[in-house]
Amino acid sequence: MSEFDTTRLDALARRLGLAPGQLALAAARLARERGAVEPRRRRDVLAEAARPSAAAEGAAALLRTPVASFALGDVDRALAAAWRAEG
Amino acid sequence: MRGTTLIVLAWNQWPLTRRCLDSLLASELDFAEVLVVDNGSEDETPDGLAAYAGRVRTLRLPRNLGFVRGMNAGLAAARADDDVVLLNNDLVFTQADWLGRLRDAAYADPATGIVGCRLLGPEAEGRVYHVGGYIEPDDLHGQQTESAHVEREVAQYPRRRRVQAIAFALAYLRRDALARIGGLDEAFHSYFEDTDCCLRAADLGIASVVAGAVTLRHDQHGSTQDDGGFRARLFADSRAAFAARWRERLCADYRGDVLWHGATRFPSGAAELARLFVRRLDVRGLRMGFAAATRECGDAQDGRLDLAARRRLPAVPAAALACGEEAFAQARGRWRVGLGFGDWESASPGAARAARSLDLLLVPDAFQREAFERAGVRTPIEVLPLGVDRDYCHPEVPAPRQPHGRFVFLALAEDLARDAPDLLVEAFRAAFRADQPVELLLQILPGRDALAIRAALAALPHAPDRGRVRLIDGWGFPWHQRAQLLAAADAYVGVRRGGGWDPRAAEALACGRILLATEFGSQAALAREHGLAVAAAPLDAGRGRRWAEPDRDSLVARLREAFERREVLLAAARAGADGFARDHDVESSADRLVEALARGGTLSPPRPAPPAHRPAHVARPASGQILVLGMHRSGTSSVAGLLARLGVYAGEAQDLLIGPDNPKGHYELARLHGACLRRLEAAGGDWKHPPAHAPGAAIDAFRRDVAEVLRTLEPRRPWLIKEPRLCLLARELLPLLTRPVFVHVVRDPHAVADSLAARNGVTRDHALALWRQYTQAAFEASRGWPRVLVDYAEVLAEPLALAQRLHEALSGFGVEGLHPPDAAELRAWIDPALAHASASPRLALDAQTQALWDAIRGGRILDEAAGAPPRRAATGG
Repeated sequence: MSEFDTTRLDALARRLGLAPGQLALAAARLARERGAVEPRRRRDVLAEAARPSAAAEGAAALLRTPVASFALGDVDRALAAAWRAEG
Repeated sequence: MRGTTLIVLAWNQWPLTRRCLDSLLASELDFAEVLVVDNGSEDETPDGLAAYAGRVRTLRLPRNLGFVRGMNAGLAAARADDDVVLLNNDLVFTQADWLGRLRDAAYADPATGIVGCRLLGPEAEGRVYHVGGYIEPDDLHGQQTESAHVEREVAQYPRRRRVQAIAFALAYLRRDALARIGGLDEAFHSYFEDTDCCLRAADLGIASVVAGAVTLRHDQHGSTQDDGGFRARLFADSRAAFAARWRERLCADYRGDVLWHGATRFPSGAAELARLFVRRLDVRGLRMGFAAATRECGDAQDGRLDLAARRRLPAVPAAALACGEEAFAQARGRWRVGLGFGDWESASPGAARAARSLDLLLVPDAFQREAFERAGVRTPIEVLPLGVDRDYCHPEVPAPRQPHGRFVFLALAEDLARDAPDLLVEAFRAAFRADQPVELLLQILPGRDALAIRAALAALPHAPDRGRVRLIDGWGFPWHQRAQLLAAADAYVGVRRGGGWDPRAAEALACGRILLATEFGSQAALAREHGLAVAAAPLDAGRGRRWAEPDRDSLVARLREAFERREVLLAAARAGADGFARDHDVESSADRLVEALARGGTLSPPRPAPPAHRPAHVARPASGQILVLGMHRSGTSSVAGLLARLGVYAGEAQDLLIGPDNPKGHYELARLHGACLRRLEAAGGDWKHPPAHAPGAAIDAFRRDVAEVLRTLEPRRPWLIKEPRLCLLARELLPLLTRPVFVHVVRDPHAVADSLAARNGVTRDHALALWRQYTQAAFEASRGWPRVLVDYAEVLAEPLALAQRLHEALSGFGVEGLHPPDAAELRAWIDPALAHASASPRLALDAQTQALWDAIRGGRILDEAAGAPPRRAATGG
């Protein structure tokens, strides 16, 4: 993400009354949805982001940590998973 | 005869010591003695050791003297002339031939004095805790891996390589090096004594290396595990002592500050370059700083890169290296170098503008150079091939293999437009049916395009009867595991629209995998010369950028070809892997990068290295062990007989070979001759076809065979052994020899070739090649040891003068028990009529052979092994 994007994200979060991390979570949730998002759905997701569940808060906390390596997996496990999915 | 004293230091924790001893005694301990230093144990250790009487020697100290003094007590009690190995009592000897392989590493170079090994931790899945380490003067935390991380075992660092320091959990110390270093410095109670020892050794020109062929298990701090605060205090005190001695000196070793502007996350190519090179530049004396060119959530995965990111550098450091076009304009240094690469035939206007601010632009290949030139960049541009990290990328990287034995193509997709994964999947399905034993493994790399790639693949027509495609999606891996995916596959497919640098392409070749790549861009040459090239047509990517569309039919054909010819192609890839990696070594790239950064004149010259250590420098007399080395048909028998007439013992007459071409005897012990024959045969060769490599078991068996011979000679020093095959094998005997002297017998290569042609039917070219190989190997084996050069012409022309010279030289080295030559005896021995064949008309020698012969005739050969390739300090193997 460029510095320009982080500035925009921060400004938008402030307008919506959210922390940037909460907004990023909401955006990730909405990005998974197919097609255009209806305004009501968008409001619901943003409202949920303002009152995150423990899991969502945990996910947001991960975004704020400087160390990304903990999220890295293992080649052996990935290959085992890929080759287990026979079909 | 030299042996090895294995010193195990123990303090309480008897179960650990017992486990260590049991595994140690079960391993191969030829010519070794186990000495346990009981550092004042108060548990059942003394009673436990009593049960091992007869198998280990015990030195009981009255109280715990600490690690350093305890080990020094062991060193003092070791057998004189032995090499020593310092061992922690929480080691487990999981590799039977560990000692033999350590010996190989210790004697591979005369400058080597300290040898460590790879150490895994206690985890079942194998985690690497030590591969040789370093210490930075900034924070003075010694690291035991290059990355400063504990990595999963992926067979990293499999070669012998020089390091700044090793951990003394296991340390092989050569006797001649120990004589110069002295013991461990007792200014350190525990901790830091190993790094201090290695740094002191380096100041004496003694190298510390890690034997990549040895891997053992170490449980870490076994003896002090229960002592919590005590250990912390020891550490702090030792650290302070180390800082007082070394901090300023380590800082002064730097040539200047260099700031690397780049990335640790995206773009991924720039991030990889930072991980590859920042640490290598630091090792080469550049004090590295790191600044991200764009705001990022840093993910260095490397301790030196982390440190570089935290370092404070001057506002304008001596030099800057900007990696990637986004970093060019930010390059902040008195000499500004850029490292650039892009995906298009012409660099973007932004990149071109930014490049103008640089003093020098480095690019990985000709394609990238042309791209910047087309964009009008006038900054000097040079090609710097980026190389392959041989420590992580090689054919022995372990990885799970396809469980049903299918042939696996691997591809990675990070950018949808650039990497064209949808095109590849479509072509793969066109090429293969589902019932064929082949599949495509496609990893969608985490990043901003992952969703788009997923969507594009999902949009492809469903084709259940066509080639099987598996996705690895939602996974990211530590960088140190990058070669494992390649190792799990048979072929790497780097077929893309973009022409940018793809590090996986060269890595696939280094791992012995088949490469398919587009005949466009940075990988084009690799594809043409080492892999299967896929045709491509120019493609306008918009905004004036051109790249290339892979030809679908060509891709289908190459996929099929790789599969149908898989056995031949895989065999060729495996056979070519080591050579490719050697020719594309990232260490060479790092050397050149340093040169480029130094070209601006803003860095200080490197601190002169001390003269390399040589065993001959140790002021102790030679022991009376003499090796006569010389190619077949070079007069070694004559010289051996001449030495015998000076009082050197060559063995009992009935034990010596006599042949029709040497009725007076070869002075070759039959048992030694047999040992040499078996050794060469065990490695798949013979004297006319010397094998390039030998399995460890063959070397160990050879040493055992020769040790039996040496034991019969030892009571009769001075003694000699002589066998032309020893030219090739002498180095392997060095661990058994105590301050030997080498007598090299050389003869005009033309005369040797004539003689071999006449006696053995060897062609002249083959004979000359053998002469060069034997002669180079012989002088390389004796490099650094006391040695004498004898020309066969001298043997015939002036035997008495030669004998007097040899007597003087050997006596000068300290060999005792010689007597001056007797002229009559010599006349009876040396008969000029025994000269083997006369030289035919001279054919020109090739350049290498001529250079070697010139160095011998000029006497320069004794300075260094002439004709041998120059040795780089940073790597071995």
